[in-house]
Amino acid sequence: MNDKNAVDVISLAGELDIGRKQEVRDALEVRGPGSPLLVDFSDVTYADSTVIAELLRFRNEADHVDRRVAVVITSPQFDRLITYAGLRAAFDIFDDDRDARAFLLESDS
Amino acid sequence: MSVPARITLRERAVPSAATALRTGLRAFLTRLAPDPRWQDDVLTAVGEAVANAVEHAYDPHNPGEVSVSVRAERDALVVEVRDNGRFQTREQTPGRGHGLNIMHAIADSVSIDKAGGTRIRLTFRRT
Repeated sequence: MNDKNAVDVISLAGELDIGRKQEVRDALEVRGPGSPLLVDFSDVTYADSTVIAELLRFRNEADHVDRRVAVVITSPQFDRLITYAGLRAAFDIFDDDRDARAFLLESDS
Repeated sequence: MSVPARITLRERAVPSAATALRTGLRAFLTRLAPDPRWQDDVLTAVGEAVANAVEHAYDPHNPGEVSVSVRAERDALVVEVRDNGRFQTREQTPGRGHGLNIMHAIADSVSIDKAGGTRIRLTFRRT
């Protein structure tokens, strides 16, 4: 039986650039059907477009198994990076963990 | 303490170069201008140019050098990111290819010279 309040959380921290590409790729793995997915970047202080590429891949993989994804970003640099890349509409982005969870659970109900 | 008007940073074009070059550039920018948003935007744009060099300039088994040269002018900051490898914009991973878009969104001008390697020149108005 599925737990209706379950959310799978993936957290990354620090500065995420091309030097941590494999680590980001390994962390952002969907692993089949399941609960909604919360990607918590609230402790990320810098990101580059390699993270965006991995996040797009992750979102597409989650779409294929019907898992909703929410992303928490608190770094102004990371937030603007998404805008500069023209991808704000591609992700459901929140600056607060509670809002992201509420979105996922509401969407899943 | 006076602020140096220019600085050149050099690294082997391997993935860890991005962090090393950003650390050096951040230290320079911090002394140059107090606006954290401006600093972050410069670091972001330059980081994309460096990532391009790391990913596309050289055979990963035989990486050459990537350099970041920064010149502070009265009203602008001019940054050149250079490598001596081949230039390749085609991305291997779906979703890649945002680097140039990001550079254009941030910098006031972007020019790319592909003669004898790649030189990406970014100009930012100083705040």
